[in-house]
Amino acid sequence: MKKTLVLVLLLCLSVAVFAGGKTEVPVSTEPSQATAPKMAEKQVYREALLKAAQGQSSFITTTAHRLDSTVNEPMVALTWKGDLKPMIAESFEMLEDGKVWIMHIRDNATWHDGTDVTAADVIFSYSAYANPRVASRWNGKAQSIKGYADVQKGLSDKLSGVTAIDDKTVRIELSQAMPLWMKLEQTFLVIFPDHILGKVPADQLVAHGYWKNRVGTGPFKWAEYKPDQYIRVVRNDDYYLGAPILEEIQYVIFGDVPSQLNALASGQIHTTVYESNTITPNEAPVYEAMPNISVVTMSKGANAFLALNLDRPDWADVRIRQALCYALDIPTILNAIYPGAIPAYTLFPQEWTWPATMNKYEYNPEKAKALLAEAGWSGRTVDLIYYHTDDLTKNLLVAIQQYFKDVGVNVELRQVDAAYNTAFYPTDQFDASFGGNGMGLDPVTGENLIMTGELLSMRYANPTIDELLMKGKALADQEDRAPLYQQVSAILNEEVPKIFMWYDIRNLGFSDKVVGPKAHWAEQGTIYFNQPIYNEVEKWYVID
Amino acid sequence: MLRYTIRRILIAIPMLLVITIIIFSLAKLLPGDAVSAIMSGEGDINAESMRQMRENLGLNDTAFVQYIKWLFRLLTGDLGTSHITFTKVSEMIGVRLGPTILLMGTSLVVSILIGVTLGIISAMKQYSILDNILTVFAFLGRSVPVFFVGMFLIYYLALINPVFPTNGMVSIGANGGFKDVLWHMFLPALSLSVLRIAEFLRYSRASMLEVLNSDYVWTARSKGIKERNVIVKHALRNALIPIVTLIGLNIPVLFSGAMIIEQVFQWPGLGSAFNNAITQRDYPLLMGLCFISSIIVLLSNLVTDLAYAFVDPRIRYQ
Repeated sequence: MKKTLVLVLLLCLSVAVFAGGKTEVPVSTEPSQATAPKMAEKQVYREALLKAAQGQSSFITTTAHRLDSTVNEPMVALTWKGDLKPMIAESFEMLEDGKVWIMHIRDNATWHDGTDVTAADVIFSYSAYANPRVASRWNGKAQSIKGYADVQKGLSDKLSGVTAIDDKTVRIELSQAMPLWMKLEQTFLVIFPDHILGKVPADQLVAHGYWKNRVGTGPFKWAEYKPDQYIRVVRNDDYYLGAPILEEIQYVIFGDVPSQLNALASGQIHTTVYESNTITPNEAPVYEAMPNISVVTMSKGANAFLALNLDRPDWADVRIRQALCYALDIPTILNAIYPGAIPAYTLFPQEWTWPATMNKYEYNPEKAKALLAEAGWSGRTVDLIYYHTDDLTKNLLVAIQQYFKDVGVNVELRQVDAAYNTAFYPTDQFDASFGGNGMGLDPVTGENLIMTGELLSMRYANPTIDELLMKGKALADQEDRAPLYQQVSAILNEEVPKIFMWYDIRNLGFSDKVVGPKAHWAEQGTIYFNQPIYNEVEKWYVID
Repeated sequence: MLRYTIRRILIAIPMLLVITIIIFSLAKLLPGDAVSAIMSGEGDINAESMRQMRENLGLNDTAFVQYIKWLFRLLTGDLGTSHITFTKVSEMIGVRLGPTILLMGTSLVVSILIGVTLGIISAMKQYSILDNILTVFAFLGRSVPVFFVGMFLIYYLALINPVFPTNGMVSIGANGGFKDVLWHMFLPALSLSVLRIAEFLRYSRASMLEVLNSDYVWTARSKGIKERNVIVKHALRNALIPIVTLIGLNIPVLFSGAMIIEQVFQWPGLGSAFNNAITQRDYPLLMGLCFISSIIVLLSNLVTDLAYAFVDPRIRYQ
């Protein structure tokens, strides 16, 4: 009897331990303290980093570009405001309407090992991006430089358009005038040390140990890398823009979203990643209500669309594609599932690219049915692939599936993984794919979704669009470019090679314990994917 | 015994070869490759870059040629280089093996100690309230998915009551030593142990009950031997034979890691590396992990069989 009593008590104690606390995630309804923040004694900032990016070369990565802002740098960087900021290059000049560029390297720009940055580093880096044996996914960012074709053909290892005027001055000649080159292409090209990597065979460059122990020019020096755990970078006291306030940045490596959110909620990290849907619109108020956490809602700068595999004869008739637009009540779907996202009627997210009038394809199931009947819709089941694992996407796709069903288009949703999805693009093994690409920087970054011959254009070919895009890229002023892109938008709106649905938003989670990141991201407003951004990291600091 | 051991090892060699062929074929059946995984992120995706990357990685070769190349490298002791991180596979496995053995080993030892002890007590107190409570616990432990236990523990012991960290293996840059590692390991080890304690509890209870009702135990009791001696000297040793099998079956898991729990707690072990290797189509890493796991499975089976001979004198190998 006595033993039974002890057991019952133990059981009650266990239940009390687990159930005795609050039953909800801790939230604060108290207004924030108005006292002035005090700088923390230990200046350590922790940011999430996706596992796939760890140890990867800047030549192939998408998400490791954090390190291209803090450890490595481009000559001239894009700022959080979308302007240009001279970094390694102290200044630059544009000559011959943007065909020739002169960049002057700072006298006090040195590599973290003490070696001076010279023109040789620029020649090496730009040529490496172009070299097919390096196989950089960013080779397209070097394609405007003179000599690119020769390097691609293997006739030369160096871009003939990149030459040294002297040790500290570089001349870049493009194949043709491109006044926006500095912003649209150069800002992606990060500079690497010739004295460390210059002798490495091109086909072994991405596998070099350098990427796991980088020597850069930036405000932070590489300190430590623990696979699957973290990368530590420490303050560069000799940084040419002044030593950062932060002593250290810790990039904490995460393989999934829930762990990242747990770490944010428990104060283990200060900032979430922007590459994945970490905080959905429905979850945002929950995190916003937590003490010391803020959620910043940004435009993803991306259009969510159904990419139709235009090899399929079913999609050949434009009336069928238009019918799919009429079948969807996008405003209602967004209102119910995805508040904050904006309906899209064309590809580009920039308002200046939208013509004054566009067909908004207002929800009209009867018209959709009529168009399908007119065009002789086969009635076959559409195989729609997607690789997103978040509930938001799944809910949106289920709603879309139901709307299509209502007009007689049966859709089978097939979840695949990311590698599977990409492998499908050049094949004929799917009908449609749910996707979206970031193009917040400029409409030029959306070219590969619609230009003839591009993998992601899904066999869409329209010479008028190709011509307009080429012209638009060659002009400097937005005023001159706007009519061209508006023409492209109007054609896309009419021809619907993809079913444009909405412009995505993305929520980023920040700890209020760090001053800098939240304000910069909030001011940036739109995500610039895959490129290093200068955001005054040397001025950020941690408060108590 | 020695001849038996050598024979078993020799048989293992063709088995390993067949295993690698099966794994490679299965991996190749998955659509996509490392290049399509790398290119799946937002950004420029163009066919020429993909072709060039495949060329550099040798992915433009036929599957047969790729396998033969892998096999020849293996014969020289080289497990290859990861297609994603471009790190030597042996180095990747080496770095992650320690955390995995630490987590899985701790969980296994704790589970054996608690599970077997509770199982024996449960058997000795058959149909008592304690036995019933332990039985309910065992069924719960076996039924609840391990990821749920993990998330439950994170919620209550890391978020609501912030006693433990939500993830990771160390406090970054804190040099907290082994104590810090233990603090980080508590929740993942506990999550894994819940399942295993239940498993060991049920096995040891059933085994003990069978032995307690056998003739030789009754004979010992009828000779007037003290109950304590009957249990410890006669019943327990025989009851442990099936437990040895269970421990043997658990040894490979020690080295292969816990894919789900490592993911939930971001534990930097082989389980999460295995998960990444599959989703990122990192064939060299996948093959390396499977190859090492296969060797460990074959070896642990052999060790388990040999252990029988030590535990049970009736077993002799020719």
